[in-house]
Amino acid sequence: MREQFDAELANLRQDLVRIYANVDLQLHEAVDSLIHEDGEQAKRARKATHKIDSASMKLEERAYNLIVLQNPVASDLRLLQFIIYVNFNIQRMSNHVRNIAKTTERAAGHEVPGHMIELLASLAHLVYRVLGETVHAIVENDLNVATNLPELDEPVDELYKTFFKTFSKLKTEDDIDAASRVMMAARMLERISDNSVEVGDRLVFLLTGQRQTLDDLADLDEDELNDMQAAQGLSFSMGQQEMVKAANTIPEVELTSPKAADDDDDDDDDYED
Amino acid sequence: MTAYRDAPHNDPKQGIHVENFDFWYGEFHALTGVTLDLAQNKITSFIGPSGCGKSTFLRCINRMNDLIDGTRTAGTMQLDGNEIYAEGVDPVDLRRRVGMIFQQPNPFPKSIYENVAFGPRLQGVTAKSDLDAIVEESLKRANLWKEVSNQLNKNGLALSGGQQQRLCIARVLAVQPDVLLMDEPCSAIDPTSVQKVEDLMYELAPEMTIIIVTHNMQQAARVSDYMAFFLQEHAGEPATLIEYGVTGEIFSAPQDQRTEDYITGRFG
Repeated sequence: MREQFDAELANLRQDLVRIYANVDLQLHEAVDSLIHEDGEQAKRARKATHKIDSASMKLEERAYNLIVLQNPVASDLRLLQFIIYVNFNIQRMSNHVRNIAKTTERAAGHEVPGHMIELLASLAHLVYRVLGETVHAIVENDLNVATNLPELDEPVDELYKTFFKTFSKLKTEDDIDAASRVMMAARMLERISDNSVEVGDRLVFLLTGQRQTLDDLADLDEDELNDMQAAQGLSFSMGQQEMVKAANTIPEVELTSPKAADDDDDDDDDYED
Repeated sequence: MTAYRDAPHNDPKQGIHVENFDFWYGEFHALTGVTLDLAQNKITSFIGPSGCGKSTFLRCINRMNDLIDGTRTAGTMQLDGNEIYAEGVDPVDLRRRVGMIFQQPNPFPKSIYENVAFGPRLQGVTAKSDLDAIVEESLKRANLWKEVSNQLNKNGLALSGGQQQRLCIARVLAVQPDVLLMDEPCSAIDPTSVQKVEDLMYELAPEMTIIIVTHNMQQAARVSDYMAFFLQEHAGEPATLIEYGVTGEIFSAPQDQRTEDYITGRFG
């Protein structure tokens, strides 16, 4: 029975990573469709998010079943709590991805003013890094990687603010409606990044059993983070190859520093305003 | 090395304080290096696989192991600042202060009334009215009064298993102990009676320190404030205390991998 339970927990974890990677993949599709004004690509991404929702609901049901049937404790219980919470965030992220895809369909034929599409592409690039590192932290059970997430999220918030500045500088002849839609897409991207950081916060509980956020751990070094770790069940290491494979389905993102990305995306010296 | 998770620390003059405690059955070194304070007026559960020394340690607290030839101890075990194993300590007096409930209910083959009045009589209570009051109060505290108040002369052995166990608890309560040791008190009784005994522990805890040895992990999680996990890792070597602290913390995030493996059912 114990072996079956371990295997089922490991399967749940693998499926969670697969779904998470798929959210990342569909985000790439949705953003690309907006950048390239590709309605068909947007439609495919939108439909794919419905499949993500369905897979996510099944995953949640399996997690609740294990709680009822196995009376889990310790790392088994923490893992199931983690899966349920991450799953909730996946559903929110999937909804945001769907809204970005809808933006492509609604903005079709409109000219988006003020380099907002270029800004959106840069913002998406920063969000991909957050998602990629989150998946990496989950796959590797790595608290050190997770603690980088708030730092990776900061430039997302900063770049998001520049949309308002750009918007305020639009002229009356610009297509304000199209600009508003892209602003909303930027908002979705910023939320996806936050959702992913929240998943990192939950990873803290999974690995340490302590209800602290990543911000609480910001000043700890690697040894201190390792000392915080609680004991782990076998399911934490089972099926590692499968998870790595799932994580590798995410398109590679060029890892530039947040500062360099900021510089690329902003010609103004007063970017930090 | 024992992992401590917000483990209690007593005032040195109060409660049970154990430091570097070892125990031998003849040549067999059964327990080593146990250090802990038992939380006063709280419930502490001792868990671990068979042969891990948890019952042995429990029995050390009221010197029940003295009844076995060739046993010896080392280290410190104190009750209210006094060494339990010091010369001159009267084990009978100690056992009045540290009562014990066993796995199998063991009422005396006497009436319900006489079972409960036995201890107070030994202590010199003779007045019928005083004994009546103690018997009624003890049976009420053991949640048995309503079921037996009109049949106090019935033989204690005629009660059901669950009732017999509560009668044994009433018998212990009659001498007003400070500590109640329970050695798998629910393993030989039916689920309804288990519920009653657990409710009773919860009601008694504010007045006395309760320590329960249990194989039932769910019961340890349900009833105890603190939990101590014992383990004999290798055959022939002494068992020791692996992890001790707040039950909720140990059940959600044990520090020691051996605790994790035991409570999640990977061994034992």
